[in-house]
Amino acid sequence: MFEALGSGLALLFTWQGTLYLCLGVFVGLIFGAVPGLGGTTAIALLMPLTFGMEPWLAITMIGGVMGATSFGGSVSAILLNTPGIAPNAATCFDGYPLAQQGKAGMAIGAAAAASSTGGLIGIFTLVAIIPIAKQIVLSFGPPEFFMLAMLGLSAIAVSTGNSFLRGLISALFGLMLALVGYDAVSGGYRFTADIEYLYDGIPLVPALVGLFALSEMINLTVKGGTVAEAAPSRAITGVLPGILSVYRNWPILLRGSAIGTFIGALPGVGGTVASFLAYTATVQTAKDRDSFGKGNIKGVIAPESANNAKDGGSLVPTLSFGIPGSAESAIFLGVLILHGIEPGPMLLIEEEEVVVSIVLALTASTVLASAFGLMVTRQLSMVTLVNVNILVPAVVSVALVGVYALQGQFGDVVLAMVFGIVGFLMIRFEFPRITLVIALVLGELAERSYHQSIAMADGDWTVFFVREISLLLFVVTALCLLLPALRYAFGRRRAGEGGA
Amino acid sequence: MNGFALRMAPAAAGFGIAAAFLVWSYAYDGRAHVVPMLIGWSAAALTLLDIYIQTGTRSALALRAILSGKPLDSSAAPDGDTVRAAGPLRACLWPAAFVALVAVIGFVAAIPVYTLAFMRLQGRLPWRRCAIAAGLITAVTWIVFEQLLRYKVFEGALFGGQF
Repeated sequence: MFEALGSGLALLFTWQGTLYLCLGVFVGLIFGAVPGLGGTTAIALLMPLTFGMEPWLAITMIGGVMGATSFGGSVSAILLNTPGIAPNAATCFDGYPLAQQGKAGMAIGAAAAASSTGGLIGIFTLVAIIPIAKQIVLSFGPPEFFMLAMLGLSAIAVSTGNSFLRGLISALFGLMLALVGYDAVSGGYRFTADIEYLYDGIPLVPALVGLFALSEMINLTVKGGTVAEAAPSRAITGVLPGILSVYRNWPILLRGSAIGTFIGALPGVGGTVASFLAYTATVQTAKDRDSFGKGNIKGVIAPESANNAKDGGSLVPTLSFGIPGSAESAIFLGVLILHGIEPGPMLLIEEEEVVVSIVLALTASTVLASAFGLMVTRQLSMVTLVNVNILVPAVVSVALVGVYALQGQFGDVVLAMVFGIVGFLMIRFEFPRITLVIALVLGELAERSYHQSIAMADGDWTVFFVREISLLLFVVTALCLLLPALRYAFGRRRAGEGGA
Repeated sequence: MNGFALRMAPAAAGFGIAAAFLVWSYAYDGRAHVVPMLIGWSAAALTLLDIYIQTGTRSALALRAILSGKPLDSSAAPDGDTVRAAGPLRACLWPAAFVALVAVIGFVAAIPVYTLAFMRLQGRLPWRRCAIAAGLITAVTWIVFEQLLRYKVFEGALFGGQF
């Protein structure tokens, strides 16, 4: 590990490493600041561009994006009351009132310091968990991997809240898509309709670009106008007191970071829940509750620390078990596949330098994004004023040229367009896209593990329930699927008690 | 499209896809169809459940509440409400038209045409601004992909591009 860390650091500080990291941070800040774009679109868009690069450079650049989007989103949340990405919505509650009081600099300084410190806490937790996760992964066999894939899909479907049923349906559609192409078990082709293009299966990159970049552009086309409505009117001063306030309120910083890391590690739950939970916990435990929502700096520190800490947390299931913790992580797995690195449980064991590159890129970008973001805060907020009608053709053009450039196949362009329309319909009709993507990524692992398990047990399907870890994973999966019903039952019971 | 049809259409489409997949999975033998069948049957069952929930009956609403883990909400969209489908349809047609144009004349020629048409017709922006943006987007795309990254950009069927 230390050897990999040393060589990773040496690579990061080469001119190429630094350049690509800065490029990733720059793109991440912009895409984070513009509502409707976000980190997933940025990574989906950059993914084809990384094709010719060395894998570590690609990982460095994408790590830069992942670390920077949160802070980019907080700038527009504070200055324009328009969260760049959904998790920044909690920052609006107190960040925008502070800006209205002429304390925008203080709020942005606090957001920068809380983001970078929270991000670092999340990453250090990830590093601490990796050796433990390695031991767990080594004890896994095919039945455990199969159950793990089922658990990942169930957990993500549950986390979609109101769309639980449609989350499950999306996951099943994703599994259907994952089965298209050559089947290693039977040695034949399935669900290809004799279309040669589909013999190798649904290519992940065009699917991801379509689902996350093009679908968002179609959605923006429907909305029209500019992304944000007004430019920030006041000068941005008083950044330093904001930074210092974070460390004066260190218990809030630590609690927010702990919440963010924990929530991030739960597959699919994501930063929005983390930041709102951290905000709510801060309000509930504060002595001056009434001051929240009117410009309390603690209301900026809590969600921002949680929001960035979740990045490290979400990489725990992604790197340890190959189950993406968020949409960003799912696309990140797509980047790894593109560079010939197979995501999955063995990544942690066999590709230590990849894991180290990710950790280093995230660490550096978390700090760099805040420092860089503070220098260009005002310019960053102006990005949100760009007219959607200019943004859309630019993103669509770059996305589709990038998709074609990867393999020189026009079929990829058509596929990306089809997935773009499908993704838009999914947004429109509340079918979560993340479960489809994660099923698409996990489908092959799930089917292979299923057949291996059945083969090693001579056709006895109880193999999934007689091994301890597999049984435990099954119980957790079942609990996940029952969670909404349990929540409903408890809610009714509580309402009944309240009424009585 | 009225509210009921709008709620029912995606659920019914989902069932259609699940049913088609299930039928297709029976075309394969042995181990090749075990997992597809499991997925197909599960998808068919869940999409049927989704269709039932969209009917908006009292028991369907109760089921929806259980599945979402939240108390019963009877404020579903009234069936009489109409939703305009023209905007979303047009928004979907833009990238489709762009891809069709690329197939014929290639990226370098299609990008300025698409950008100009989109900004002018969809965004109703001034001609000059549209032309400048179209030129800039084309130039940046060409420089980044063809010159910096050395990728070959699709030329279009008219100019010898191979599908």
